[in-house]
Amino acid sequence: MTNFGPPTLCATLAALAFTNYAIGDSGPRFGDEEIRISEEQLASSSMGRGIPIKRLHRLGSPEDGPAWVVVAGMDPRHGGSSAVAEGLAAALVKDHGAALAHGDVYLVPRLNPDGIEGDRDNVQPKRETSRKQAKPGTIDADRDGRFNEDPPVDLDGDGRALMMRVKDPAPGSGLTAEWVAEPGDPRVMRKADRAKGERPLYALLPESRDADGDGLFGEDGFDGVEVDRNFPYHWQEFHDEAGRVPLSEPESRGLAAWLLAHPNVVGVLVYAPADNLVNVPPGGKMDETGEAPATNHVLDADRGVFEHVGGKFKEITHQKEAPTRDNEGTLQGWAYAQLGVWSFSTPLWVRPDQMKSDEKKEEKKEEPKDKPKDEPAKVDEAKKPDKPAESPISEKPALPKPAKIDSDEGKWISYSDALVEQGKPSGFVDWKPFKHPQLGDVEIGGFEPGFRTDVPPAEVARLAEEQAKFVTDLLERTARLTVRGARADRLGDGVWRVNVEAVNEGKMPTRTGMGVKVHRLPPTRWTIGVERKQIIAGDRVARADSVSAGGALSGSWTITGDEGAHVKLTLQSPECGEQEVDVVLGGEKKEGKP
Amino acid sequence: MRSQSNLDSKQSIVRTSGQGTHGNYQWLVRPNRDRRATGNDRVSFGRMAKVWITVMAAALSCTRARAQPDMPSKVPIAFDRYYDHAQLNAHVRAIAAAYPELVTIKSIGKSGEGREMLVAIVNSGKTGVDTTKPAMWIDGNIHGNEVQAGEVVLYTLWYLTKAYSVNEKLTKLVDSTVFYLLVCENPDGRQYWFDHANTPHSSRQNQRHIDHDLDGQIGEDPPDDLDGDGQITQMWKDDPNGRWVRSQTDDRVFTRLRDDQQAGPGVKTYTFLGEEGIDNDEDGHINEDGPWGDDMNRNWPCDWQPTHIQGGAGPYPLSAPEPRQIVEFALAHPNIAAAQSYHNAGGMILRGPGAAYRDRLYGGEDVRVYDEMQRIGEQLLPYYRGMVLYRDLYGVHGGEINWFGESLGAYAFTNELWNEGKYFQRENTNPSEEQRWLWRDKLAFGQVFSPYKEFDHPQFGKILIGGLNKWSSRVTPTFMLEEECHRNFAFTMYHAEQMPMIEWGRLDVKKKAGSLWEVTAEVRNTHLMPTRSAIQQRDRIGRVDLWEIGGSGGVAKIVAAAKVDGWYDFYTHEVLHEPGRIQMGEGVPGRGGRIVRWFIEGPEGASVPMSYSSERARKIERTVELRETEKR
Repeated sequence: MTNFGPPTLCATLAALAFTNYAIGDSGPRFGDEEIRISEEQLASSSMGRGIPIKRLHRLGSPEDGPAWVVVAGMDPRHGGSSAVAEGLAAALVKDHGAALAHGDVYLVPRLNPDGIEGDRDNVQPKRETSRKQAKPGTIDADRDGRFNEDPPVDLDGDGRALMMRVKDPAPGSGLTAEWVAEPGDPRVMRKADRAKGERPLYALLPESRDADGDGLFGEDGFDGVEVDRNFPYHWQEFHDEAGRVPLSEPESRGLAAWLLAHPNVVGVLVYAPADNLVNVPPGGKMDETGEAPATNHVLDADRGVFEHVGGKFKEITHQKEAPTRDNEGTLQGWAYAQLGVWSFSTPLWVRPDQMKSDEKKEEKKEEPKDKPKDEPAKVDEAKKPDKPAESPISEKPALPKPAKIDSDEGKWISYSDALVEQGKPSGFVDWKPFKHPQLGDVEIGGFEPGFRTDVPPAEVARLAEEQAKFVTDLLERTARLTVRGARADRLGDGVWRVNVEAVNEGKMPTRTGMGVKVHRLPPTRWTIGVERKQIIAGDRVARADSVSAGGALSGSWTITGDEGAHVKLTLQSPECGEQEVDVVLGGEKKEGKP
Repeated sequence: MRSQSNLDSKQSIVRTSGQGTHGNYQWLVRPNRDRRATGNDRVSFGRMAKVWITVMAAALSCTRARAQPDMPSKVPIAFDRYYDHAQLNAHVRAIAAAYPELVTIKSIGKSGEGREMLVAIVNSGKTGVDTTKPAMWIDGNIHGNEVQAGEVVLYTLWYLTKAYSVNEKLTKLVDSTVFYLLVCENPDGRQYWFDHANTPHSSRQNQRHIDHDLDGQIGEDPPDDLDGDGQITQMWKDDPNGRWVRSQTDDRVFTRLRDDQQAGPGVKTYTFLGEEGIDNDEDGHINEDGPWGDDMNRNWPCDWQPTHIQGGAGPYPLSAPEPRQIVEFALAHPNIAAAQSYHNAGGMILRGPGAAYRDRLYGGEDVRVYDEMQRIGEQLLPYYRGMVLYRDLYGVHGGEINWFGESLGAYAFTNELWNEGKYFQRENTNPSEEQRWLWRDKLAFGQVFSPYKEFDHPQFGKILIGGLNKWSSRVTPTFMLEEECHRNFAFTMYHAEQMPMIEWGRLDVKKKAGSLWEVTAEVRNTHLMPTRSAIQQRDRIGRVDLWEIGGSGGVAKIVAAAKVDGWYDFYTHEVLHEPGRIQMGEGVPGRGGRIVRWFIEGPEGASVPMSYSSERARKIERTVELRETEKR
């Protein structure tokens, strides 16, 4: 392998076989470099939809150089993340291309098309689910020998399957009241606080019938596996949404296999409704094997980087709170704990009250960036907001009066009310009476599916720009090795000491502490290109599992050789690629090209 | 009496009067040569008498004497030898072709190197399609070098087919159950074992190419058959600083000096240099990156852990096609109630779990079933011991039988075939090195050993190469192979016999007011395994059992139902929904029953259909007549 060698046969075929819309001559220029976007198929979904992965890179960027992978569109409640990922690509091409000098960016805009787009042959009402839709005849969630016989349904014909609440369920209905409506805002439901002597008044169920007469409502529908719970780290055995086996799904397996086949991936950035950037993972605690981090944890050795990256993320996004969840079975958890790479996750968008109101940010936004006017807008235009002022942040919309109910649900209702005041659609469907065929008087209502998780379409452009800044920061932070001080000193007649050093000029170690622990990849190493018998002292190979930020991997060898002979020193790193430097015994040193 | 029975049979117990001040009796143990001689005489006489009786019986009733053991197969196969993967598959195909009414072959896919994996489905078509009957999955040789596993599974197929319709017991078993047999789970590892030079322990893994020493090159420093004898044996060097000495009486025996020992003057010492090979890549390590891949018995999605925790686990669960294909087959066959996987060696009947923290998955009823089967297994398999993996052997994450046992909730064992004690058939299962040379010389005629030869090694200079070969320790000797096959086959038949078998029990019909009837029915499971194992119940594995009554559009109306604890402990549990289709998540316990009481409206004499179905038992059906049964 050489630095500027031709692309591998595989990559060439992929480029030929799939869309390769390199921007070419009309593309944005950064010095002599150009940005390219190529695309290949990562996998085919259960229902046969293609799942592309795109590579953004500067022309001539080596295939084995460092790369970040951004994965979006995993959770049906978070379909808008795909648009942000596409917007990120556009923004990187447009304004942040220089950062690609530090590494490539791979994008999977939509890992779970089946979950987000559903089954065309079996259209189900819109509903709140994190799981992908399964084909009829495959799900028996209640194990009763009947398949998909009792799905959530749209009883009132409003196009959605929301929630039903049943006041004072009749004895014999099989329902138990466990909930109360908040006295301050009876739209908000919460579990009765029995310790305080509160009497539960409502049963809360999915909008459904008991279609099979087993006393359960909406318990056996078409919800299959949750792609982001199907990864092998702390996989939740015996949970239907986790899948019957880890990586049972072509989407998760396809991505895992791809990542395992790309040792140059230094990190993964996941767009999913769970954050570990604002909520910086704690360090230290291990699971029951003693050799893997406990759920949501990272190794102490890596915690500093998570903290710094999280700090930068908060600075860019102004998020001060973000929803999170246990990372069992998630891509984020697996990528860190088993692949051993940096792994971050963000829901991209949070409720306005979860953000710092910061004037400075707006000022920064005003500053127009210096950029060429005549750049092609082919990729960007679609993602470009019609009016730059539409960013809700500058519009200061949704920080209304403090929520009446101080709970997460209460804050969402309050946010929804604020939207309504601005003449925007409500995020909450008010409870409306309905005559249920089996239960009699019920009410149907609840949050719009995805309202509390998905990216509002109007926010896509702003979020894409934020993400471009964040990804730029990640790229600039990425470990990069610079060769320094290659030389050969004469010790005696035909005896030389050869020295060389590779310095990490990034702000991250070449490998995570977890990556060192999982021992999946070769170390970073210097190899001297002489016969073994020429080496008087020193291992032919000098290695380091990880080179810390600002640290160096040095090689030192005492060798025999003729004056004037060329000695090749090769630096290899799975994460940082390969470099060579040529040293002439008794001559001038020659620096290698990175 | 208890202490006496614990003593070696070659010793006798002598009670003498105590010599001490307490005047107690003491038990003394001493060899009783006299009695042994007498015993021998008696045995000889007895044996002669037996022979004579047998000969007489044979003469009197020739056909009867022959009928029992003589069960010729349409496919003659010798079980005093080993077959490579292609030969194994050829035998499987030949048996299927000879017994088409009993055996069908399904290819579940190919190995990493493209060898066909054939599941032989042993099913008596006249008693129903396979998926309607409880099934036992049997496989082996997931570790490529553990070859006799393949012969044991082949023997199982061979014996079952030749015994069907000849032997009453096995015919009955085959008529009521199904066997899914996969002779070899690791075709590539097995073939490598036959085709290449191997150590006594190599070719365990699949043949996926891995960079074991993470130097960027794959498989660049394998062991090398330096002396060209087709074996990878051991390397020794004559070394004044060595810590090994050779025996004065048998120079094949190397003994390690203890830390407090020093070789005497003039005694040559040796250094052990490992398995035959050179430092092919000149990195200072020998044989560190050879042609072996993942340990596929650590690749299953059951407490799978990455390789830094569980060596050989592979990059992710089911990354290897072989276990993936088996899992796909097993998930498509929820009738699998039992599983057996064969390995070597040591003589063990192993069950899960593979880690202490998973012990909670083995609930009370399941443990009773396992214990009972291991107890019988130890009788059928002399020198074998029933064990729990993590507790009695070692920790395993991502093991196969763990997956069958814990993720499917089937009762699953691994048998570690062959125990060295079988050479001597004495109580001592841990023979001394001198005793081992006795069988190596006198029973194996030296075939398990390559004599030490001098060799000029490019890195070590003059060395000795030789020692035990791949036939020396793990593989059942060919002259004992058929017995090994038969006993293990018999153990799995016993295992299969324990799969749930349900039948109707007591039925009480009482007339209540008007056209209302009280019907109390019982389902009994006559076998050891419950229709739903404890782990299935707790972790919601598989479909619940269904007890249905009334059919559709029948004359009777099912008014209400209740589950009854027992005939004498008759507490009842209300069935709130679908009294005509009762969900029995609890199944029917092993050697136990379940009782349900219905209230049914219908005319006297009406026939009401009833059925009980389970994924792991044959469905039973009957009709209940609405007419008073006799009072009990």
